[in-house]
Amino acid sequence: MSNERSDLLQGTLDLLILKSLLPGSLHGWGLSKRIRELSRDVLQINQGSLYPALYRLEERGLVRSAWGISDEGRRAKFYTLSAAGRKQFATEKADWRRFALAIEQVLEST
Amino acid sequence: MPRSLVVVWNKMRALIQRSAREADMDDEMRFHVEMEAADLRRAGVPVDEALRRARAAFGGIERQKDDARDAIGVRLLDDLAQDVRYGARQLRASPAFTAATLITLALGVGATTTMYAIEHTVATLGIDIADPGTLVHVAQGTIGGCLSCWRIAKGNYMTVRDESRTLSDVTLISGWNPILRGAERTEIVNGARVTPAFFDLLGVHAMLGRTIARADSTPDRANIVVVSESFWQTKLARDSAIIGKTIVLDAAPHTVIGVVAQRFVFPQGALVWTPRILGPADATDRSWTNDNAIARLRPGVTLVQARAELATMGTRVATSYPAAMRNWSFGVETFTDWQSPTTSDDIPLFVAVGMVLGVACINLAGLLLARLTARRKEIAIRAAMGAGRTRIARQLLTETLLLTVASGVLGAAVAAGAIHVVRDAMPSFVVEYLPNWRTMRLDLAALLLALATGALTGIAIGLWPALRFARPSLVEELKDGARSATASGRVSRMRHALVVFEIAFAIMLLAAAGLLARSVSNMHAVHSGFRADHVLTFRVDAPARAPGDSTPVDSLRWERLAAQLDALPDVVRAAAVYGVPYSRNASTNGFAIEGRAANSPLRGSAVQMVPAGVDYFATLEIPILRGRAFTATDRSGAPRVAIIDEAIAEKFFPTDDPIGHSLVIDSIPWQIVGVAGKTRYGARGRVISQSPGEIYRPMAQWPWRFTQFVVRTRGEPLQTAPEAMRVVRNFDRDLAVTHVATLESVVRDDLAPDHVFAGSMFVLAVAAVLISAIGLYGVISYGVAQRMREFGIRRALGAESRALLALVLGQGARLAATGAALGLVGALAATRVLRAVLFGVSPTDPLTLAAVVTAMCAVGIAAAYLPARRATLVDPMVSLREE
Repeated sequence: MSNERSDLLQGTLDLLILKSLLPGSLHGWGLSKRIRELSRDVLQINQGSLYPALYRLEERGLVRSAWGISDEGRRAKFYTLSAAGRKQFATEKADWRRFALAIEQVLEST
Repeated sequence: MPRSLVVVWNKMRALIQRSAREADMDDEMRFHVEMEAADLRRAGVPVDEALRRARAAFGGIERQKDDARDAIGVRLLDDLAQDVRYGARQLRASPAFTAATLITLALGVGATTTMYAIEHTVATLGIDIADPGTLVHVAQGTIGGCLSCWRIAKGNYMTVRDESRTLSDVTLISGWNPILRGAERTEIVNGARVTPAFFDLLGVHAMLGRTIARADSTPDRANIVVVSESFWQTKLARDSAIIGKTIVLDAAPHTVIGVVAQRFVFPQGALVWTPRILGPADATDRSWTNDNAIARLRPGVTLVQARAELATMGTRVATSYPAAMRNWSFGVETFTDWQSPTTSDDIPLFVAVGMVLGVACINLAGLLLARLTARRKEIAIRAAMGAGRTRIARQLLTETLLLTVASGVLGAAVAAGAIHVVRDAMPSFVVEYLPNWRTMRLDLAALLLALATGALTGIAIGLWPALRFARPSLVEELKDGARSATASGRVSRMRHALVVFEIAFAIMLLAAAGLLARSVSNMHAVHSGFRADHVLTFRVDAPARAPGDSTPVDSLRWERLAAQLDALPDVVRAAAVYGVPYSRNASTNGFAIEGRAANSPLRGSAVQMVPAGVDYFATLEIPILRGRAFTATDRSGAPRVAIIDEAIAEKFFPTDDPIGHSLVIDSIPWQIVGVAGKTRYGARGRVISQSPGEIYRPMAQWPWRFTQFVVRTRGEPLQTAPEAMRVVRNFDRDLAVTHVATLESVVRDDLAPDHVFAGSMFVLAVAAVLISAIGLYGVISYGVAQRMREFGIRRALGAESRALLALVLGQGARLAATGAALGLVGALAATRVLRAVLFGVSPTDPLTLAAVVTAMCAVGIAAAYLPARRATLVDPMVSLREE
């Protein structure tokens, strides 16, 4: 486990959620675990704050939710990316790349 | 479906399915925490520690739920409903606080709204007129003085009508009170003589027939009449074929040419209108200002321009008529200004009402502060459980608004009741002049304004602590003993200051009420100079034979009628007089004394001129101090005589005997034959005036077309009234009798406005005292509750009940005394406003002020008594254990 952790940049949580849901549907806890794994525990997110973000994405029609049964046999709510969500992910990913590149250039300039 | 509709639909569905969704949200989040804990346990963390860590990682569930609700967008409505429910529960849980607040605000709001309703009713005109903004009143007045305060002479009206380029439709209006002879009784009708432009100018059309037209300005049209709808209904039985028929007014037939709608009652209360016909002779009349003129500003002309033109015109006319127009010119004012009664007399009442609302708001602030202090712990707990700062603020706000709305309803009820009482309490002679009085009702705008003031105070006081508490050092708040924290002390001091201010305001109002009460009782106690009991009075009018006609057909007419009244078995004595004391009927004129320099100080000094019948002095038992009373020989043709009263005798004949001197009135000498005692001629405005003096002349030598009668009866005066009316009717069927009343009620009615004024002030003062007593009670009981432990210790150490009682009562008395001192300073500064309306009592009257302070301190101690009792009843063990 790395000792260095970063707080999440404002507005990037949505991007991470969309990315994590790309392979298939997940319930909330699974999603939070996936984000931690994907970031190799660097990104520190308040697990609870995932839910408001999920509801917001659902409200915008980017994800859909349905109650199902988890691997452990318990009732859980699963989130799936919608077509609009996929499209949104592509846009946001491009935006992020441009943004990160720009920051990088600024930092590396002499 | 369009996207925005989908969003709305989702929100509505979310709201409807709220509880299901809440449960889902709860399930989902709990599932998350459990999964996280299970995961940690698998990594070897002990069960309890795993759960704790999982929760910490998640953050407060409540907070996440709030955020989640925000995300779904139902939160606002949802919270509101929850806040209202929670607030109502909180308010029910503390009935004392709720009742105190409700009463406080309801009193404040009720008083303000009532006062506004009264003022609004008095100030609005009960007339339907077209475009009142460009309507003006044209008048003549003294240069350098008020140019539009007088009326206008006929010649000047004609000049303005013919020459003005800024005014159009200039119209002359003369008073006209014709006598209508009916089958049962003969009565006086309110009406006016108007020049032809009148109805066009005011935009009034006939509902039947026609109104007076331009062609109706020749003498052969003098006997046509336009009547109002109500006259048509009540006197003409709604006869739809009335046009062209004749009615008898002032003993002359008048042809009805039209009927106009009910609402139109200009000038004041007019029911009939007839043409004002002017002849060439009227053009030279420049100084008899008997009539009013109104006009319309021409399009694009401002009042200032009209004023400038009329001033120039006045100067020009003055060069042609230097004697009549000396120092006179013309002026204009807006119709509304002219018609609105001045309300400056009511300023003290307005200030008082404002102060009651102020006291109510201050008290509300104190109550809310107290409540919030008591709820610090609760609020801190809610904050600790994750309720956001805005959420707590909103909760407090909702409670405040809930209180305000409830007090608004109560306040409206208070106002409705008060308006009802005031409406019926006002004597009819005042109401006569207020066309809207009978329909006075609650004004919604005023109610809302008063409520908003209360709500704003509530919000200012409710929000401030919320913001403070929402950034709490939670631990501090939750620790035991936090109640003695410094913040709490600050709040206490603030509440004490608020209560002191309340008491100060209450003292000021109470002082005003006390002074007014003394003033009114002085008015009653004052020696009126005549005997008012067992006297019937009424007014008799004879038809006018021509416009402006003021003399009767024969000079002994009223003496003869008096003799017939005298002959009634129940009557002791009867006399004719025009100027019954306190009846507001009096004519004033200037006079000179024969043989003295014309420029002596009495030149131009106007005194009451009273035509009195032979038995007038005997009937009212006014003493004749020197000389003689009038006799039957003082009639037309005999030497003219006069009686002066003591006031004139003292002022103008300080050294010599007035008997034998002659007074010159309108160039005619009248020899003084007697000196009568002083009498009072009633109130002028709201202040009783010692009339400057009276000069009596024999009714037979100076008769008027109308007169009043005073009839001293053996029994109850009103029981003799029908008998007396029959005598008048048999005497002449064309005489109209009005204002039948006992002399005592005439005196009482004259003082009625002072009673209403003093009474209103008293009610307002009581409201303020009550509110401040509630405030004081609140502060003291809060203090006692805070110090229960201290009292317990004192008790345990052997303090007696008496000592504890004195301790708490002393605190109440100290607050009351501080407030009283402050209030006294205010009262001394403010009661000067009352000086103009006080009679026989100084605005700094020490007796009144002392009484007021004593009363307030007594109320203060009484308010402190209950909590003081509670302090003495403390059980040391219980209070010590409680901590």
